[in-house]
Amino acid sequence: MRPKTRPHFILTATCAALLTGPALAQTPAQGGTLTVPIIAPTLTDDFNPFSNAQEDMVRGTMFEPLWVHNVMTREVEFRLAEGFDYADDLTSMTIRLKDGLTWSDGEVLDAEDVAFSLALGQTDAALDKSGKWSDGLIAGVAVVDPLTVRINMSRPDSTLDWYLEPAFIVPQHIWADVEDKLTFRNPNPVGSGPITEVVSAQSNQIEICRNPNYYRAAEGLPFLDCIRFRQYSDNSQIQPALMAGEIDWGANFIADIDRTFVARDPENHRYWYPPNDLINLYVNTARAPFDNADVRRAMSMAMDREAIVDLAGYGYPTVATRATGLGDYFEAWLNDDLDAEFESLLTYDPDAANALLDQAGYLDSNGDGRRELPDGTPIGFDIHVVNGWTDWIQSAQIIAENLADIGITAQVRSVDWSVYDAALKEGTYDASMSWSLAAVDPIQTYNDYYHPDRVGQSWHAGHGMASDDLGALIDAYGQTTDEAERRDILDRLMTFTGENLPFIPLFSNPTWYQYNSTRIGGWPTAEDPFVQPVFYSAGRKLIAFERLYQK
Amino acid sequence: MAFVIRRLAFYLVAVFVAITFNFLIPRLMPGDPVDAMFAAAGGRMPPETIAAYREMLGFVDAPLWQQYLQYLRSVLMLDLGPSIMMFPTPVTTVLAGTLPWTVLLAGAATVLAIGIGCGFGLYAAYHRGGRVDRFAPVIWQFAASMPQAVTALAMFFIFALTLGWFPLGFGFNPNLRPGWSLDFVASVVMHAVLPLLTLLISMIATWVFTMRNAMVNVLGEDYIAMARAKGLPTNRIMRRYAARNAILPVVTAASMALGFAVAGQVFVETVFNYPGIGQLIVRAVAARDYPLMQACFLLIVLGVLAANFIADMLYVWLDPRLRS
Repeated sequence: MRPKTRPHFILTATCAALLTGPALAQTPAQGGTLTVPIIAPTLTDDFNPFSNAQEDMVRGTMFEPLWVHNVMTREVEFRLAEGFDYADDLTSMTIRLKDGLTWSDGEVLDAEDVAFSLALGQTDAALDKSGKWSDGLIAGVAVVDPLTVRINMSRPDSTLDWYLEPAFIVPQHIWADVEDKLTFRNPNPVGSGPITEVVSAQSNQIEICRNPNYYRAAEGLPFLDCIRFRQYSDNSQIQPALMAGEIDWGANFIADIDRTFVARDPENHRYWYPPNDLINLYVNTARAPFDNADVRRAMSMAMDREAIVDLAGYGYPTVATRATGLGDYFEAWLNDDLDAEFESLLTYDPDAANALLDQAGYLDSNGDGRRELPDGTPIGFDIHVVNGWTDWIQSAQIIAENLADIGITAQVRSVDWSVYDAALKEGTYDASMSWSLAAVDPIQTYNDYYHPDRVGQSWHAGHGMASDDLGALIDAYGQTTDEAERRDILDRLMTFTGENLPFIPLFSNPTWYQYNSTRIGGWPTAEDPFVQPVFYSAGRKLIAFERLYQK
Repeated sequence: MAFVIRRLAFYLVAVFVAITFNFLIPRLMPGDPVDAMFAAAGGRMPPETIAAYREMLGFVDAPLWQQYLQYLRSVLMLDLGPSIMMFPTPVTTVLAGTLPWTVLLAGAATVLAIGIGCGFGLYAAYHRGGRVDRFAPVIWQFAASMPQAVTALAMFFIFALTLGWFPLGFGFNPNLRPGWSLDFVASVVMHAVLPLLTLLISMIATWVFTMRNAMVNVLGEDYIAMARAKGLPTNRIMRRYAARNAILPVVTAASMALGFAVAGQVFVETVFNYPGIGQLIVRAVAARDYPLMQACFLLIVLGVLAANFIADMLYVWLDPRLRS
């Protein structure tokens, strides 16, 4: 039922060999150091995966997940676990661990450790990285045998595996005695990941090196010896650091990247910006004029998305071409037939937009060039954008100009984060630019758009279209493992979105990813997209790291 | 003595007022730091988890006066709580790591600026109408009138990024271990050059003017004419008669400058990623890290007040009229 992983090591070796050229199927030699940036005011010697101090530094490198959902390949890549199965009635999940797992201090990693780690969230909501204790799904965790853990659920669910990825497995023999697990600095970290040994820790750099007892050491992994995490306070410092070759892996916005970064060394200075979350203009369908679907459709058709992407986004984002609420990030799930049906809604056509508004009765009755509501009130609203998010402010300005072309007056209002945040959550905005969830499965995105439970909680359900019917449909997805049934549910949600257009898709954010191959090879690229190259996802970072090698 | 006690009482009241404002201002700002903290979680985090964090970080809905009493107690105990950005690192640890760098940079810049600036001022005043008097103040003023951020970026772009003479950032080379080794000290010096130059460029003009004008005033006084008439050596007149009196306004300005030095470093530290308090304040405000913000502001206020107090005491020593 679940896709099996490919034998990971063979893949790693061949891929690396392909990149190095003629050296046929040869495993890269071990050695070398990768330097990556961490955005923080200062680094501290805190190696606790549950604290916020520098989670990007230890999650996925020192502490491994059970498995990783690879959105690029739509496969599950197993790490500590060998596999998992849901019971036939979907009220429990059995996790099988790999044999021969060890901690970096040489102790055996077994089901006790896994059960202990998963159960942490039961007593302390702040440790509940899966969020599934808090929402009542997980009823209990039991050790079946040293290599098997069973999770009992309070209701049928087939999606728990998506949420367990950020739940980190920590050694019971160390953490059981820790009283306050959130503030524990974990000064002598013991983990199961490829790098665990802290060589130096100072305010501007922390160096962590290979795990002497790594369970994949026999395969020659990891190829690299160490990772140096360098402290930078913001993006603008990372750009010169990349240009000067101080760091190997960037994951941040870089202005005019072709000229400032690539041109310095076109051979080694590279970037790849695969699509990430979809950015939408959310409108409040409870208010006029957004309560009329024709107005929403006309607004969508009036938007020149190419101009928005080129002018405001430096050409890095991907123009949204689907009205079904999903971006290119979910390419593997898209339904081209359905998308074709609604394609015209996202095609720039101000004439059609004008015609649609005329037909719907939103006319310019007093001749001032601006349309009024049928009752004569002039149309005017604010588009909320966060202060200082310059690319979005520019996008909203272009949108306002586009809308002016069809006689609709909109003002861009850049507001403080807290105002933006509260207005989106409480649904008290007219129009607001925001992202959408780029999760493991598109149903999570739809859940965030339409589930009544998300109203008031999420930023994206406040548009007024969430309903119990849609919520039930979304819930049904999690109660089946049948692909056809799931496909049908997704199609219905896509159709609903296309027909009603509760929000207006604009573009897909890029995944910021730059790399310098002067010292290090094996990077994910557009030609070899083996993983989405994001540094903030523990699992995907781990997959990428294990392919990297010193040149 | 009565003067000293009166001043001390005044400073105690000032500290109390400052602490109170320090408590109130962040709480009057809109928004909740815990929400900002989890903005990146994209709404995936369950509300229960966020509530748990909120409680742990002390953002409970207690009445303001209770929070205030709690705050007063923690300030007295020097227990300023954990930083939110770098949770669970205590604020005091964060400050202990950054304060020395700011003191080093600000201290060196202020002392050098006063020394160099007063030197120019003194020389210009004594040789009125000379080449130094005509050009130095103008040139320094021109340099100082550029916004500090522009100066810092220009320095960074030319000397660090393009020419590569100086490092791009940090207080020292991250690959070195801190210690009293020659390598490390040399690295600290190399990393301080550009930030220090930037600060000096923007600071020196003030001192040239302050010193020059004070000297010009004093040199017009009768007792200087008297000294000259008596045939005292120029050097002696300059140093014993004129400079000592001209230094009074410089003392006032210097005490203010030292106190505000931290705040003046914001741009420089941000551009050069220098590990000081200036840049920490910016990050703390952006992240709504109340405990850290409050600690930084408290430090600045205490610094300004302490510097003023020292200036008061210096006045007592320099100006005999205050002692009566």
